[in-house]
Amino acid sequence: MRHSFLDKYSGLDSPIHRLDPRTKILSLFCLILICVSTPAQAYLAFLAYFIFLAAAIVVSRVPLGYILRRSLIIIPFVLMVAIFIPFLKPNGTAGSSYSLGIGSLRVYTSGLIVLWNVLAKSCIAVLSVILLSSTTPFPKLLRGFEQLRVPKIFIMLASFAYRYVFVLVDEMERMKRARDSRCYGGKWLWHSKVIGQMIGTLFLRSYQRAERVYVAMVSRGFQGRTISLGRSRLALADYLVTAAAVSLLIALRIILP
Amino acid sequence: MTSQTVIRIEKLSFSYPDGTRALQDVSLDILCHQKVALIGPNGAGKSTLLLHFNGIFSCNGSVEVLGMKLEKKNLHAIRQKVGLVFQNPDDQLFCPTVFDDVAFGARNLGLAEDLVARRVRESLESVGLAGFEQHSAFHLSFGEKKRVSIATVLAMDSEILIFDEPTSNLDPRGKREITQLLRRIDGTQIIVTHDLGLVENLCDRVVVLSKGQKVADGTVREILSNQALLEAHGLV
Repeated sequence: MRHSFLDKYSGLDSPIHRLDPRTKILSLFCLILICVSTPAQAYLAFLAYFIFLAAAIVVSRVPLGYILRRSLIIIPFVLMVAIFIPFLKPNGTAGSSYSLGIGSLRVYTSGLIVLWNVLAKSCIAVLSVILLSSTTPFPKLLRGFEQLRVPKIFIMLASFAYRYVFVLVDEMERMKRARDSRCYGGKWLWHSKVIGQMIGTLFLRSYQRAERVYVAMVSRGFQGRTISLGRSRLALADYLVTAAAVSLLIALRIILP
Repeated sequence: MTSQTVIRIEKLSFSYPDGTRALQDVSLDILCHQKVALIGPNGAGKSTLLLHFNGIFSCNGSVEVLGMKLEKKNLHAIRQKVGLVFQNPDDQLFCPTVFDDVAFGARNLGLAEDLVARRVRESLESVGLAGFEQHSAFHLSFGEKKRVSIATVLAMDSEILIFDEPTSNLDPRGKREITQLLRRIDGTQIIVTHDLGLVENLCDRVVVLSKGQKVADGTVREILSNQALLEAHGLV
């Protein structure tokens, strides 16, 4: 089976795709850092960051719908945690209080600002990461992080995760097909039991697979030393783009209220 | 030269931690440049034996590879000399790209990066997959994955190659290609298989393993014409 999640569209060709992974990592990381350090009420600054990101997305030619759909995977989680904040910050009531019979519910202005703060910052961060992963093939991304001196153990873990997530999805699909072929049906309670068993089986199989992979690694002389994935050279354009992006972002942060 | 023993196993026994006896008093000499088939029913102990050839399973010193005892201090040297290709290519290929997978063993040998790149190119060429370096292993067909798996040990330039079911799950053409490929590769080969066609076309010696014991050892013609033996051990 063919899956292309994670780095779908990373095979396209655009000025953004052609940049060295390190340029993209550094620029987007800088965007996230600066965005996080911006005070919540600097609305213009957030607008500027968003335009910066949107411009990069347009240049990258990655379909906008795809990026929005991807961000839907993460934003709800943020929302779930943050949605209660407006009710919890006892400072400056916004609107009236709502009586619920057992007590009253108030929405606080400062809480609303915190909610906006969390949402805006997480949106920008999530969009940055999606842009990075959909303009860089995963192996190149790993190499970029490695050249930026990220500890090798993380690189290795990420590369295994990337390699085997496909295998696991396939295995799950096969199990599901085997289940459905045997006239799977019945009550909800029965479903949950079967799904639990499938997850357990998947875990055991992955565990055994990990042992087999390790044996295959040891057989090829692996002694616990991680190995670099090779290097790439930065072009002049990469230096220029990194410098331009970083200085533009810092300027925006300083100038905009 | 051809009669030199490369692997010597004497009275090897092995039990799994849960007490299952997998091998019992197996003795075996593999000679240089032999292509030996290791056949036997499921659960005969073939794969267990195979994992002794490069010291994945430790044993009581009754295995010798190229004159080196299978001991902790020799393991790295032995694993350089013995290349193991596992049955499931998804276990063998664990890197993001084909290049990294084929290069993995060569890099572990401590070779310079340009030499590694050359070895990778040559190995992929010899399995007929030149230009596949940047593909991700997951997007290859099963036959291609099997061939990349073989390339991963070719890049290490091992003297002894061991294959666990090299033709399983392949279509007839895939089987034929693998057979031809193995025939082209020099050096000692040990092939665990159920594919008697492969044995006939490739090997010059057959060892039959059953219930953890060696029950027969002879030339291909001797063993494959012994219908009673093959039937007794569920091989036909």
